[in-house]
Amino acid sequence: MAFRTFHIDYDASRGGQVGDDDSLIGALDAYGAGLERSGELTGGPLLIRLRSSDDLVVGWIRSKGEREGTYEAWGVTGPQTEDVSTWVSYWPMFKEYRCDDLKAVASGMTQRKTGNIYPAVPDNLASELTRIAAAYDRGERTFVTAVNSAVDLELLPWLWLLGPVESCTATVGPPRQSPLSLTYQGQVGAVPICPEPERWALEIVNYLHADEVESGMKQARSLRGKKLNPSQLAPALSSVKQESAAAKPADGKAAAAIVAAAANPGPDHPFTDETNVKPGWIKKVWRRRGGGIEKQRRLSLRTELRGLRLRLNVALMLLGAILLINAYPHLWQTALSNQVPNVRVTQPQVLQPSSSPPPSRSDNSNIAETDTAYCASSFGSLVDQRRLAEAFVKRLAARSAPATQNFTDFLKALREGQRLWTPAERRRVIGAAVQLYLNQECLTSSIRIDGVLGETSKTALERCRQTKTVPVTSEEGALGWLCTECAHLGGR
Amino acid sequence: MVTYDAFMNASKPPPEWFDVRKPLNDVPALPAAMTARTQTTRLPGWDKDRKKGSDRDTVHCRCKQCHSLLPPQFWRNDGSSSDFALAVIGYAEVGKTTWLTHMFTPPSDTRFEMIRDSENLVAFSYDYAEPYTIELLSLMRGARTSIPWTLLGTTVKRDRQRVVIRTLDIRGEHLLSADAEARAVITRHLTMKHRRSAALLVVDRFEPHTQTPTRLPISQVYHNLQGRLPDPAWSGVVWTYLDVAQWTQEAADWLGIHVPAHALRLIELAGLDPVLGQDLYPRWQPVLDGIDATVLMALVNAVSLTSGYRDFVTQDDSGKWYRFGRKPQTQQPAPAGPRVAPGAPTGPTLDGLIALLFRLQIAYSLKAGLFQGDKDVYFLKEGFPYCNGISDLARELYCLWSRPRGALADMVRRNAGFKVFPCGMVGGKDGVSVWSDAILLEAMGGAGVTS
Repeated sequence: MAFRTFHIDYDASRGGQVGDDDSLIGALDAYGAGLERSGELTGGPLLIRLRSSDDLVVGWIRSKGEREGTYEAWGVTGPQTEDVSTWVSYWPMFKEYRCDDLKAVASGMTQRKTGNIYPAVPDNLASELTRIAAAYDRGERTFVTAVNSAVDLELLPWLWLLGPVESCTATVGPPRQSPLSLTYQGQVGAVPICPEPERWALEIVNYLHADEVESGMKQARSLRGKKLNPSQLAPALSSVKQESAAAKPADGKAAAAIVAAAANPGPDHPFTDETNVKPGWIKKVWRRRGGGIEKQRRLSLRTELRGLRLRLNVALMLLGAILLINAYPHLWQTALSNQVPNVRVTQPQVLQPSSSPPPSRSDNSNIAETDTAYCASSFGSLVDQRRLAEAFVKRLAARSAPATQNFTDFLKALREGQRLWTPAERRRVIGAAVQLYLNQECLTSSIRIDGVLGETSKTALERCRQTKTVPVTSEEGALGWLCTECAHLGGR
Repeated sequence: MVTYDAFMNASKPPPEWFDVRKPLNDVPALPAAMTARTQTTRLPGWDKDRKKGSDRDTVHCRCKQCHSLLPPQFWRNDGSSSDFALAVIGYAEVGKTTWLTHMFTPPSDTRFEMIRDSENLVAFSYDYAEPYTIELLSLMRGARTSIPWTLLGTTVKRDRQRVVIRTLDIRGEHLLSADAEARAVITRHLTMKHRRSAALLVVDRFEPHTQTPTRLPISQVYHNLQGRLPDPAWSGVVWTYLDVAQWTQEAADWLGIHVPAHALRLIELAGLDPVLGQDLYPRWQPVLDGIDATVLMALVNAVSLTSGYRDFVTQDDSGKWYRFGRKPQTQQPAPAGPRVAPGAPTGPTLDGLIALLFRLQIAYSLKAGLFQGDKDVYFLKEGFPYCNGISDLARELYCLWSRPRGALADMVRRNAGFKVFPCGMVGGKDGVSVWSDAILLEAMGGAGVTS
């Protein structure tokens, strides 16, 4: 078995720190020394690489409390060459020592099976990822995360999984200081992770909210090597060249491959693992990637230009629409009536509901049914939801939207008509809706903030205001994260 | 110089530093209660901080091979000082580091020292015992040592003599498993070429009779080491945690039977509870007058006789002590396992006598304190026979206590030079040590460094 379990405990009568592996006791001694002896935070997770051997340790360490400097630690150890990315999916099994659970973890990790019990996504994951990315840009390579409560411990596995440090070199913890703080460090990829760290973090976290951890991991991996900066590429290239020169391959073709590879690395080239550069491996990977950095750069530029053009077009259209509505409201009413003949719009400028009173917003359990009834009674069953929503958005943009009464209708329209919308349109609509939400604090079950809107809306709202981001999730699935300042929607 | 925080979080400490402390994976963090010290404590940095072209500066020096910080006592030799290597072994939580720091650091309260406040005994230590400072070590008393071994350098001035002490403190767990490595480190330390004398202190912790002995006998480790030590190396036992011992009625009964002439005075003394912070003199003074070397001599003889050893001690007119018949009553080799004579103090009686031993130490310190003059003068004039009596009593009681535990009883019995140092604290764990300077004096005397 590649991974084996360990358990270290303190027992003065048996000679002090005792455990299965004596060398491991010595290795962990430095970490057990600084832990708090009482309280909620007496320890935390650790993923370290041993100096004295080629093993790594994944587990948990906590103070024993009886005596300063004594500790209890448990987890699994295995060779550093093994992939340990599945450890996060066994999170609950690491938190408390149970021998059988640990054996199951060791077995699962050996077989590279996923445990599927990930830690909860912390509220501040996006902001922490952003902070770390910004810190990386400032030149920091060790990222310290303060832990104020036991919940904060769950940040670390996510940071390990999704952060800028290559997971093959990253370490987590161990807790070394008091008040407890955990470090997340390792060799950061030699390329800048992303020119827009906030967006990067939001996009990754979006996947987690959609319960697509694998996609999030893939996104994180791909983004670690995205947007190569030529100024930072140079030293990386030179180091790879030095490695290739030191490797002295036997045949000329392999040498040429290394030099060519160093001069034109792929987007995901692991610069951090320079010692393992092998000519065959490089060729294979680049063939699979379909090109080098130049191609990647061209693609990136093209994508940016396309996005810019699209944004410009949308802005112009929006501006035109606003001017049109303001200048000729009667024309707009006529046009809408003509294009959507089946809609019985009595007051198209205001979109008032029918005489039946709107359902109470505090009764969340009946919202789905009442919304449908409400929508149908107001606009009929043949209403063109897309047009309705578009009109709503235009009025939102013109800041003439009514208060909460039509918000549910709008969301209904969005749900019904979202298949007809282009992604850009959908983003714009959601962006406007969330702006409205933040401004007016209306409650809804159709857009959930942190998944629990309606129960903790005040708290969630406050958090959104602090982080300036809103995680937006529709009933059908994740839609993304939204910046409340620029209304940019991250995600798919 | 760098802060402890920088030292701990240094991204690339020399790998050799860790190699010699294998399998340490990182520089240890300070205990949680001392986090603030990480910013205020400063340590000599790694080699990169040193000036180019100089292997050592005048104050701090690192080993060329392993980059460990060496106290000046390890590398500076002025030719006029006596050189003394000291190694301390013992299992976890027996008080090795605690008593080392007590020995080498003048305590704030010298009331309970044997002669420490005298100018004739001054100990000053190098500030650092990497990765800690001596101050940190003192503050960390009671905490588990997280480093496999530490090096301490101390210079002691005794009378007109200067003794340079190089001390090796081995972590308890290191002796359990990594025997070969720990033995190698200890042997290398005690057999360095330029050393003149060496001593090995074995630290053993007192446990009441109610506590089932679960620790592995330290004698095994000692025997493993003994064969490798240099010939003149001297050994002694530091018997710690004596303040834990409780006075018992059984001990009072035993004194009444075996030391009837002095039983009342001894019982009265043993009944006093030393509590730090109170003025001890008014309560203790009436008892102190009746306690002298003669009482101790009677007590030692009683313990020796009842424990199966014909081990009389007596004193001539000049105060010099004589010892007779240090042999077991039977000439047969000692049988394996516990072997205690029927009348010997055991169980609660032994616990009570050990508590009495600790109070006898305090009594001496207080008597010396009441003496008009230097403590050293008192020691030489009147205190010497008393201290010898304490030493003998400690030795007898330790043999009785350690025999069922399979510890060093037989070794102590066989070797007359094998000292037992009784150690306890007044005021509990964070209190004041009693007679910590006696260990220093006896160790230096036993190893032949001082007269």
